[in-house]
Amino acid sequence: MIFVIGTYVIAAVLLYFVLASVVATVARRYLARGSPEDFYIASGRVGGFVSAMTYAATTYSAFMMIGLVGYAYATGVGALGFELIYLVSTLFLLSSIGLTLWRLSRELGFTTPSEMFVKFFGWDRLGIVVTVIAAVSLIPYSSIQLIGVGLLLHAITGGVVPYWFGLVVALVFPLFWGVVAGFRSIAWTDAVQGMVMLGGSLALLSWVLLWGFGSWSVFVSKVNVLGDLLHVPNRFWSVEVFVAFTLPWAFFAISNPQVVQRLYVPRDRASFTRMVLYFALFGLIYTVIVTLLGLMVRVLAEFGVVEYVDPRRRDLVTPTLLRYVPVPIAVVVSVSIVAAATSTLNSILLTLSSMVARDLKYMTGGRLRPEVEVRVCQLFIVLFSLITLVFAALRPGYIVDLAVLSSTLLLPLAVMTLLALVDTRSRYLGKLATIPLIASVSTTLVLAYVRKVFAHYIPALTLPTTALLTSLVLYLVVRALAR
Amino acid sequence: MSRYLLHVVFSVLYIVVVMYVVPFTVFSKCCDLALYVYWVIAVLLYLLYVGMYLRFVR
Repeated sequence: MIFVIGTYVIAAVLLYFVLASVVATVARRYLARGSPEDFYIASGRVGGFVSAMTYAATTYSAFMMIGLVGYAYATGVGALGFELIYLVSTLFLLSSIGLTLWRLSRELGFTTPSEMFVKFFGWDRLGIVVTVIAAVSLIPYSSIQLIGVGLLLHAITGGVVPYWFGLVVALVFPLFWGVVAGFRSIAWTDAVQGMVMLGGSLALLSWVLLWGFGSWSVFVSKVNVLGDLLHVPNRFWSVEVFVAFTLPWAFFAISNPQVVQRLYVPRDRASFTRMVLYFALFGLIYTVIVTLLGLMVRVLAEFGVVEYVDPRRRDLVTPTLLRYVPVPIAVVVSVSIVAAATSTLNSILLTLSSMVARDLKYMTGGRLRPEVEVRVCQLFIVLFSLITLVFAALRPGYIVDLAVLSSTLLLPLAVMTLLALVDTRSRYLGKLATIPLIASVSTTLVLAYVRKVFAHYIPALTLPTTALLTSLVLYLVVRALAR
Repeated sequence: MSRYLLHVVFSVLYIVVVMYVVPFTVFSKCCDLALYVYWVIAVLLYLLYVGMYLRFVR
């Protein structure tokens, strides 16, 4: 049975990748050849719907259908609050700072987040520091996406499909989409992937509701079996844990380069507004579906309808549930998880590569020809893909630690962006701007290592607070000294 | 106070009070899906507000 499902899943994933590749190839027709701006951000001429879908598909990774379902199962309604606080904070940041960054990207002409820092702080080499911080944070995060696909395909085929096959399949196609037409092909495939993600999760939720409960009212009548999982605080979500979880994600919209770059793409003010609202609707619906799934599976597990998964092994909740699901739905859900992983992966690869290529342009004093810059970007998409593949294949322990830390390590970028918008004299800081950036990221990394050894003595909230405060205080000190 | 600053102050207060404080106090012992429905409605209302702000104010 598992082998049959696995065969269908592999066939569906390959078919899906081929269809998405057709979309990417069509997108290539609209590419302005030899234009880095067109390759990185489609010349900032993307409509509201596609902007929203690429923003959503980039933001919501395989974590949703694997991690968040497990969190809702293990920790209850607090998981919904954790994810919705991210959504509300993002809405706030997009409607305030996001709009300003979109306007500035047109006025100052920046196309990558590292270039944005160069313009904000007035030093050509600052982009390199930003790119290195982004790469250290995001390549492990990308590897985790790849590992997720490899493990899913390996598990769902009963071990028939080797782990490495999943890695290669999940990397080769997004790599092709990125190289073939840059942002345009990635945005178009993201739009398709976003719909697959939503459709797959909705199909699974509908099936669980009808199969497990028969109707919504039966689910509501049984939900009280969850006890303290229905409120906060509970056995998992203390105030401190809740704040520590939500704080790094609250700044995601201005800390993570792959989503910051998406702020530059809407073609006009109306498209930007549509991007924000459509993305928020997508996020709300997807979050509700995913967390309801986790709660429903937990109720079914408490009544012995499905196998009880130990909450400490919460990542196994979705794979366990898929064993009960009819083959067509299992296939659709598996494809939707692969879509979520690859849509995040390809966006990160393109953003990092475009940052390197643009840094190189600044390092050569602007003498890099546009077509060469595009080639450099394509080359780095391949290079970063290979590094991601190696990390995913070897799975060193520190990769997981760095991936978990990624949102915290990027917090100083958010603080510096905020300060640059507030401080009218930030562009006079020049190379001094590297001090708060490097110092705060290094301090957070060291503290994370110390916390791993002495976990009980250092509260969870310490890491994001340190990243935020160190960058803020050091910026103010450097600013005062520079005066 | 400018409209932009009002938006920032209102949003920060909304996030802190509506999304953090109320769930941990008012709903701290509540049962059924009350907290679940509350959080979803709170986000819907904020989404409505941001839509109006982007469309008519900024």
